[in-house]
Amino acid sequence: MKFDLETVLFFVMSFSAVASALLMITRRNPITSALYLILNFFCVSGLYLLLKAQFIAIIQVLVYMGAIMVLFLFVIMLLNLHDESKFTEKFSYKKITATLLTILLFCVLGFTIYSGFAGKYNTMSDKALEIGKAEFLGAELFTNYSFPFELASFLLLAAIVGAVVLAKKKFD
Amino acid sequence: MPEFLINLIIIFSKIGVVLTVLLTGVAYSVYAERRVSAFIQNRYGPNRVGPEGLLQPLVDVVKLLMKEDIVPEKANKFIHSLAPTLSIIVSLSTIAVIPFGDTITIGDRVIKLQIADVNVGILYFLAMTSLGVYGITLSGWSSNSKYSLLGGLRSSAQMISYELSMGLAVIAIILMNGSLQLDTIVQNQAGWKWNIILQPVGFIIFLTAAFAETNRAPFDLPEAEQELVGGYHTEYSSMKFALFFLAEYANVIVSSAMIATLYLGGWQIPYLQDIGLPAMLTSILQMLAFMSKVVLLVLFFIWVRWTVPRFRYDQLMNLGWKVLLPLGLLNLVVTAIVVMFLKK
Amino acid sequence: MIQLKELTEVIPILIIAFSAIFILLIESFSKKSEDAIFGFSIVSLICAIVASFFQLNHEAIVFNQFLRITNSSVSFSVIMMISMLITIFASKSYLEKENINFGEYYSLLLFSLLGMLLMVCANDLLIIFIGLEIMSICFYVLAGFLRKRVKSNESALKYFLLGAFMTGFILYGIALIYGITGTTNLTSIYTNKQALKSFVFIIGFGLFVIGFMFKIGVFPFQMWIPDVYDGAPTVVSGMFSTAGKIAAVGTILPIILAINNADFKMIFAMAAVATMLYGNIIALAQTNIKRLLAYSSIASAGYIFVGVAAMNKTAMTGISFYLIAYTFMQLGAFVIVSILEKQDDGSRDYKNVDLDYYKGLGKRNPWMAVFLTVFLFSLAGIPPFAGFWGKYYLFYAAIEANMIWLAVTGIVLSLIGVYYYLKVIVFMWFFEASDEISSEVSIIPKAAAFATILAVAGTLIFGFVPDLFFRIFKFIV
Repeated sequence: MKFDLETVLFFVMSFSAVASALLMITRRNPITSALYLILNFFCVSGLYLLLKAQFIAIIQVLVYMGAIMVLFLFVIMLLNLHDESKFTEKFSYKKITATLLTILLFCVLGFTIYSGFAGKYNTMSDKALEIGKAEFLGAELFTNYSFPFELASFLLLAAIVGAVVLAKKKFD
Repeated sequence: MPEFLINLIIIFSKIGVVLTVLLTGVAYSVYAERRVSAFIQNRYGPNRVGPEGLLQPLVDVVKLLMKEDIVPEKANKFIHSLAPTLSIIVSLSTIAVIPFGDTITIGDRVIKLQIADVNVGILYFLAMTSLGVYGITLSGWSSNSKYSLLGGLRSSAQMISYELSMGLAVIAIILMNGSLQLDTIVQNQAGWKWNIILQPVGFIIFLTAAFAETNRAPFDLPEAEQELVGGYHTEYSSMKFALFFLAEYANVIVSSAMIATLYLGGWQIPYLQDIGLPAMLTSILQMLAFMSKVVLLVLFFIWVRWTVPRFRYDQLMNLGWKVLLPLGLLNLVVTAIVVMFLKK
Repeated sequence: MIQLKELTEVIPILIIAFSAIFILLIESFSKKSEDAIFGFSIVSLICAIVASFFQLNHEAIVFNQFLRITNSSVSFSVIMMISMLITIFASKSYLEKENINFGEYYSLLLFSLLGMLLMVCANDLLIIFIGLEIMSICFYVLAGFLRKRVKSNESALKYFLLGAFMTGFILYGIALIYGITGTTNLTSIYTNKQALKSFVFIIGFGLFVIGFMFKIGVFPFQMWIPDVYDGAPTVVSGMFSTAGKIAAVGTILPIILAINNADFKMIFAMAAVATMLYGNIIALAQTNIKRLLAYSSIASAGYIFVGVAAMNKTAMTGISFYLIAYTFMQLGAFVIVSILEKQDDGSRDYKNVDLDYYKGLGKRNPWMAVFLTVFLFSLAGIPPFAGFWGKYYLFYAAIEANMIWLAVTGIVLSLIGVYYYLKVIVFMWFFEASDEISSEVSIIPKAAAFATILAVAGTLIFGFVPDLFFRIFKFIV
């Protein structure tokens, strides 16, 4: 493994991504949790940058950090949520099962990824920089992937209609 | 000296110069605001410190630094301090992608007059503006005061609403240029082809949205004094308050720079290249042109603030969602059709 | 790029997509448009069904290999559209009864149908995912459509949380499959024999299947079904339990058959047994007809999985036959429940859905009682109704695949199921209602009655002439 700036950045980013994810689920104050989630998104977008996916990285910031998480914060603030109370029971049957299953799932996925991909993708493709650009993505979306692209608009339309139906006043 | 080191020096000096200019600009736009408002209201304004009060900003900074830093007892201390920092970081880092000149040749080295020429420059700008919400929202929440919270919530709603129209206006520009790179967009505005002429509707939308995004009058509802005391920064004092103040004016300058870049030809002076002046002089003239455009726009921001009354909240939302958004969409469609026909 | 010629291959999908949008336009530009929207959605559905028949017997791969129209996908599409048609007929009076007669309801139904059609026609994991999301998002909203009912909200929230969680499984599965095969195109995945055997693929495919098992309601992912079906508006529950399940089965079944990995056989068989056991046993204790039908739909998922475990050609035909029979009988039963449900009186809970209400129905409302009896007999698998043939083909497929034990278990467990179906029938014909209930007059709206008649006709026709189905859809798997 080379020891260059990118490697260092990779470790910094991944470490902080994992750490912020852990902090996010362990904090009891919902706002703090949300802030750690934002930090996590930021680190992930840094990882995208290291993979030369500039467009995805900036979209990650724009959409997740700039739009979705703002709404999250907004809702948390409006609901005025209090700190999560601790589980009273220390060891419950549910908790143990859940923990064991999670560990199992983690191990299986970890092993899967290790066995399937270890040593396979060590070098970055020459086309990586090209693929990461907005121009390339745009061209793909409007030619090869125009059909799923159109479908995504149907998905969004259905979601908007649904949201409006659930929120509008003329019920009751 | 190794190449790597030279590049590093160049980058750092660019950052240093730009930040210095920006911060000085911020200080003097505060001064300008006070003087212009005084002029509009037929007063004198600050004119005691230094000639014509020009040293006033310095004194202001000293005053703010010396004040006591008060944190409300029930505030969330960490987030309370984090919020102003976030605000200022976000507004300062936006300047990184704005080209303030073409290239300058020193020795045999061609230096681009832009800190970072990323190929998703516009998106970077939009991303940073959308992150600007956090500082305000968090400050509102962490102060544990109803006025602050309301101010924070108002501002996030407002910024999210106007981001859409801003994005639509920008997309029309992207369509015309086929690039997300700010440098290319400026290059394409050579001669008379400033985007303000090609995209008049987009310009108006962007300008209005920029006012809303910077929370400036007539969209300064987050800090509407009559209803919200001081808005999101009611509970701030001393340097933290100063940081918010700084961030607001930095935002104004950055937005002006962005408007200049996107619509007013950036550093372009029409037909300057054709005259055949020495390269160095051209570069300097272009930089000056960019700066004067920014200064004029900042003055415009100030002028609007002291002449136009504040919107009501529902008017603000109506304007954003029912006027600017459809207008932006229409503009986008028309632009797309025209671009398609021109390409054929 | 999308070619104009290709559009002709997907006319049913186009009809559904555009009428879903058109309904929104009618809704927003005219007042009192509910009747027009109702009529329009029925016309467009019938057009789509007719157009589907023109797609039979020629395979088409369109839109840059994103969609693949085959006989099996057409048959699943037609079944789903029939289910949707019956649902819409039954919906009108139900919506009026509940004071929620909005045009958006029909639009959401058609949007969800669009998602389902895309899923069963998909030739790419990407399309499957988008279709699934279109369907699921509409389902979440439809489940919570009765906002003033606490149960409806609960149902929507439960469905949404669990559904979103399970979508994560599907996505993880797709990511792993993509990682090992380097493509999301199903045709290319099938031909990549080496990757199909790799460990990563098996785990990825397993996660993918788990997501769909959740949507179908197979053990151990069935916990949400009773609560969701109980809380959602009754007609919508009927649609969930038919069209929603068919979409999931129709998507996953061709993939399972094409990959044909024998390792999964045993897992599916165990899941099938557990599901049948769970559904049939718990249903015995139910006193609410909606919950009873929900458990019966879990049991049906178990029967379907008997066929899935068999993984042979007979299974494909058996499952599609069972699905069409199931659509008629299950949806028919739900429609009758929705007709008999009490008019909205501002209460926060559904009225007249207890089994006690069905006591003496034979006297109060003989036609409804006869119809419900037909549906329940058919669900119980008693000849000569369609449900019998459905189960017959499924268990036959299991025997053909040398899984006799599975078939025997299935038969024994479905015999247990007969008990709770008969309980309702006995309640209807041999019990006297309390005075309070017997004095109630329930009006049977025309459209809903027509929906019931359609369902009865289907149950009877496919019961007496099961060949008809196979003559229409000649399968090439």
